[in-house]
Amino acid sequence: MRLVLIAVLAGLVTFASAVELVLNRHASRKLFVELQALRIDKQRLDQEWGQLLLEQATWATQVRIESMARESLGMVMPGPGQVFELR
Amino acid sequence: MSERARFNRELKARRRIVVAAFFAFAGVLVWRAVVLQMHDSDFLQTHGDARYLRVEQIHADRGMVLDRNGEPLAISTPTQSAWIKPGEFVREREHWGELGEILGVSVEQIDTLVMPRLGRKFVYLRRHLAPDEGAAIEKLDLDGLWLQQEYRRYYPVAEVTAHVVGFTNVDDRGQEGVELAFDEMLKGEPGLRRVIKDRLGRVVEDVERLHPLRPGKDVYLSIDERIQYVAYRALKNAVHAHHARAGIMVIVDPRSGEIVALVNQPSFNPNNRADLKVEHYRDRAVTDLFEPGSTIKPFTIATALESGQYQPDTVIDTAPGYFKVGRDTVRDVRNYGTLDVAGVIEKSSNVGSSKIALSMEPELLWNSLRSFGFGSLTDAALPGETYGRLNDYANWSQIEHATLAFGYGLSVTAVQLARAYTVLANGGWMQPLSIVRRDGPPPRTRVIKTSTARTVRRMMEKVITVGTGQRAAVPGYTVAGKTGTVHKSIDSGYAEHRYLSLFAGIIPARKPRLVAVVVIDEPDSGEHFGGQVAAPIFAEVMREATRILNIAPDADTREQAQAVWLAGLHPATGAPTEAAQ
Repeated sequence: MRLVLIAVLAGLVTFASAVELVLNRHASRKLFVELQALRIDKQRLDQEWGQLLLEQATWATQVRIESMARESLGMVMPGPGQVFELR
Repeated sequence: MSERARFNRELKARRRIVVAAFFAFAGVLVWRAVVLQMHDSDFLQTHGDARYLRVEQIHADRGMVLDRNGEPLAISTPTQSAWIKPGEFVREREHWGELGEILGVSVEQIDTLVMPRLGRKFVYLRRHLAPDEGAAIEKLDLDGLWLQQEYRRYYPVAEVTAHVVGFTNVDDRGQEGVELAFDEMLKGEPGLRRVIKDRLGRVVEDVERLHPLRPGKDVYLSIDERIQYVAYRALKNAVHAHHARAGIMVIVDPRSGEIVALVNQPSFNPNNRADLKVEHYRDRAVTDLFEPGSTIKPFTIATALESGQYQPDTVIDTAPGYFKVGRDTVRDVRNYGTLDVAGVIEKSSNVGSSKIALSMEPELLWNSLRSFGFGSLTDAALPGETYGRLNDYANWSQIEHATLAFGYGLSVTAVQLARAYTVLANGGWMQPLSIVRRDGPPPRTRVIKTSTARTVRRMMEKVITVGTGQRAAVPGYTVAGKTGTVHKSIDSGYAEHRYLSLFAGIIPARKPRLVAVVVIDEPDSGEHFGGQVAAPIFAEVMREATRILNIAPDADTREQAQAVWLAGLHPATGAPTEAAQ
């Protein structure tokens, strides 16, 4: 009688651990899929960042800033006598 | 009974047969299992894995090239390339027209690409598509046509930094400039991982990492993009105005040996290299040798002062403006009479500097010029740097000894000349140049005494205030400099009417922050003296560079401004706006 009880118990424990394994395995797969999606997101964001950086650098070239300052804003370089040094 | 006994016996026999058959089958199964498990297992395992295990490469991004303030000069961005399997692609013939429209090619052109290559499995249709082209092609969804992710290098400031930064080829490998010199660092190392993929090619499990990913590192240059631009614009305008063949400007921070700007004319657009010639992308500042002419005189004088044989007020008789060395004659532009040592630099007297040089031992002069870096490399990590030429003193003839004093018979590159001037600007210390930003002070060696360097700079100030380099004056600042006008050497000697116009300058002269060398190759506008052609470029660039770097004016503004007005220069009305690009 006691032997049977132990056998049944052992069987139950084994079954429970098997179920647990399956669940964990499933959870790990799910997390991995998520990780994979995040990796793709990261790659996409990195690429977008690179493109934005490039765009910013292109807008901010000295050539463009100078021509805007001179032409649209009518700015000029101060000549000698117009610059005062504060100490 | 016997009936029943017989039946029983028969049953027994049947049962035996059935059991035996069962055992036989079981035996076969077990045998098979054993064979599979023990004998064929490796073979089967490999083939099983091959059906879902994949080795995948992880792309290593190429690092950026940035200027010293973190402005990007080279960035990699992903693009798509279209490739085809001609055998499959040929079946989509009716859609070639739509495809051709996207790519801007005719059906015939696609035909000539595809038909001779029907047996091939991989043919590039077009590399580095524009983003909208890629999207349109994806929409067409043709058989035998795939898009593949690739990376393309962009240079936002294009022509301005073209020679320094260099460029990469279509496979993203460095070809020139910093892209080549720092290729190992920039390119990184792609990672390798083993993964399990499902039927649709999605990665479902990371099995192991075979090779770690090492992304490319960013390289911070010593270049200041703002000053680089000002120099680029000024040089471009000057080369154009003087109908010159080429031009170079190098600006160095003498305190750290960092190259702050390095520009070449003609330049090129590294983003569009369709018909690029070596002529355009060669970095003349490091590859091209020239004779330094009068710009070497400060070093002759520094050597004389260091030797103790001369003081700044030692008098040299240069009358009557020429003198004979063996069969040859050394000439001045005119007769300067008696000059002191400072006057030799101010008037740029060939006779005076030759006489000084001839009074010194050849070995002493040679050693001194060597220690200023003439005849050696700058180690600035710029590819293709040429060794300067400085012949061994043992082979000098009398005339070679004399002409060396005014810069003929030896040759340098622009960066080597700039390095020599950093010694005068940096209190007599020499340090290696660098094209990348420095974190700490580099190792340095003493070349001349601090006091000698200061004395020579004082002499060079007079070149700007009263001498040949008055157009290099920058209002508000003390400037030390030296002009040079060199006859270009050709196979049969020296060309009569082909010149190099040179200027080397230090600003502020009393507390140096920048050293610059300007070289204009064959100006052809009627003006060819270094003081007329090269010196104004120095002034134009330094006016803005001092502002950009917040260098405090160290001269009386009114007095200096007046000097500039008297010299016939119209200061600081700003540069022409049609400049650059």
